[in-house]
Amino acid sequence: MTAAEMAAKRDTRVLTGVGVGALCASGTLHFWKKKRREAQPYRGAREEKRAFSDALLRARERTAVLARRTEDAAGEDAAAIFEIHDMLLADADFSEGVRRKIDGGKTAAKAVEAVAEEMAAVFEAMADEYFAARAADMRDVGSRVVDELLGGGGELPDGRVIIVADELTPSDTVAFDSDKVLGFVTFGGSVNSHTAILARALAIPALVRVGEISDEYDGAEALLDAENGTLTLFPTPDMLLKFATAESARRAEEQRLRALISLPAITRSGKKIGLFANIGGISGAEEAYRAGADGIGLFRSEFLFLGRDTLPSEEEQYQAYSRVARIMKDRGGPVVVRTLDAGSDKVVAVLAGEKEENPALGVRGIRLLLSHPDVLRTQLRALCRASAHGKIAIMLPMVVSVKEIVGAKEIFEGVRRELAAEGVPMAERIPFGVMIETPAAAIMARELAAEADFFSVGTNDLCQYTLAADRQNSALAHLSQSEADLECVFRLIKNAADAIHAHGDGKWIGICGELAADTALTARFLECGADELSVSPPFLLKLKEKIRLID
Amino acid sequence: MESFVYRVADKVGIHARPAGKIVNAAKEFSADIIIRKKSDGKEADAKRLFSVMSLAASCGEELTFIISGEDEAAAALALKKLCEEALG
Repeated sequence: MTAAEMAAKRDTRVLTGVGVGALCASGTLHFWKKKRREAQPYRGAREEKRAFSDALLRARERTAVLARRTEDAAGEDAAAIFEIHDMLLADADFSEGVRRKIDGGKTAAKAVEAVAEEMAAVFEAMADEYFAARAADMRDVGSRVVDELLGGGGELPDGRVIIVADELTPSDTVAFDSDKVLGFVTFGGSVNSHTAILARALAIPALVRVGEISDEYDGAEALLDAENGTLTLFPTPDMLLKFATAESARRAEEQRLRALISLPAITRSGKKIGLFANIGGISGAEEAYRAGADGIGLFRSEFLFLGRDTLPSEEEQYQAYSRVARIMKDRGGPVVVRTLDAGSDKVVAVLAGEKEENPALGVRGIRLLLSHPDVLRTQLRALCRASAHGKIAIMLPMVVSVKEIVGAKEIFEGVRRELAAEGVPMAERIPFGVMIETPAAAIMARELAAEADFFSVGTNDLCQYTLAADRQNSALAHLSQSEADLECVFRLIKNAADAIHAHGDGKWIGICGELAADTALTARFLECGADELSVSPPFLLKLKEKIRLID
Repeated sequence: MESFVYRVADKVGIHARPAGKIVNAAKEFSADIIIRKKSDGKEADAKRLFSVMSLAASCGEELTFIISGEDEAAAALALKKLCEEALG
């Protein structure tokens, strides 16, 4: 670049996109998984060896961070793999192999790649499936060191940053330390994409559909304004001042909301609404508890299953479920755990079947579970055991017919009998509910209510299936933007709620999709008959404030 | 020189975690510790994870630990205990 071009690059520039949430952030941009820097030329054995030693040390530090984060989110068992990663990094065979290759004239990065590949090949050649699978660990470990050598890997730098990416996948999100992410900017995606969902969950701003940004802006100062849908590169001092003023106003609002924590979620006419939280792990439960949630309306158990190559054991699952049950124990509401909702865009490697033409309409949710009854049985055993520690409720995803509930309940009853025979303590009654995510479930709610104790509407999928519009397809985002666009969905919900309430017996219906957090729609959901609303912990208080203003 | 024989009891064999335990225990001692696998005569350095994992020792396999060095007696005792108690 010439000096003039450099100066031009630093000019203030405003890009537009679709904002998620109403928050703002100011910080440096960090390109996630951008192309690695061009490999450097060989700098001599001494220099390369030093670079390798430094990178190895940093890679081990990163591994320790990943281990801690995984342990917090999913427990000790899930984090154990990182202990092995650390030992592989520390193994003399690895470092000696790399140093030998450096002596032979390879750069540190090339040497690491070659040795990791050689070691992976040894594992891969083993007849035993378990050992062969360790090849992936070896490659993972190698690429972590190469990331440190060449930069630009899927790691966050020190300090807080705005993440820039083409689009983020659910497994990318496991790697994020929420304390370090100020916001997200994606080239594509939509307000229902994973990036947007994650941004809402973390209560940070996101801007999607910005179009490609050159990675020359990596490290650039920027202002992200989700409310107005803009990303300002190299903001002027004036803009930064305005941002700071807005930030202090936001902090004032936060204080106002905090005063609501101990007040009930009750409408002006005195109807009590269950205000529950959507969580994906232990830390979410703690946050929900602190924000005064009445219960957990959706515990996404797939977070125990994603980003690994084995299934979580019964014990590991039991630990996670019972910990959340204990955290929420003194609250009135249950902890609704959704059984594994894999398939479609959430791929659990060990359960992945043949490639499907149309995965959104494929083997996912309860369909996948019923085709892997052992996986469901293990999960149900863990849930039944956890019910001894709090108010556990079980919820099935993607139900379209009564026979699916009957099939799952048969397995559930079998598990209960088994555990009772083993003398394992369990709650006397474990409510068994289903998600309403398909038009079929909404239309057939009367029949489903004969078999299910409660219902929860997954608005993301219900919108996508009702409007026949892929939620990741940004070209179709306009079909589900306004309340009028969603009228078809509201009618389905009202139809279901009426049928469920007509059944009596204390059966209830809640809303746990993304739309539940949209306070512009709260009155409408209550009109439709929702007894409970479940949202990410950061939205609990804003929603409570809204409920308390509704007649 | 000290030695003892251990038959692998874990049904997935000496996978990553038990291999890690062996390596961590072996590193506590200065003695050289070799693990020999009966079925194919393959040998591993017990202080190196990759080496131990490369044995791909599966359930039922007989492993001979051969320990030589100043603290061989203590090392043999500690490893034997680990194999029997922690690895099953």
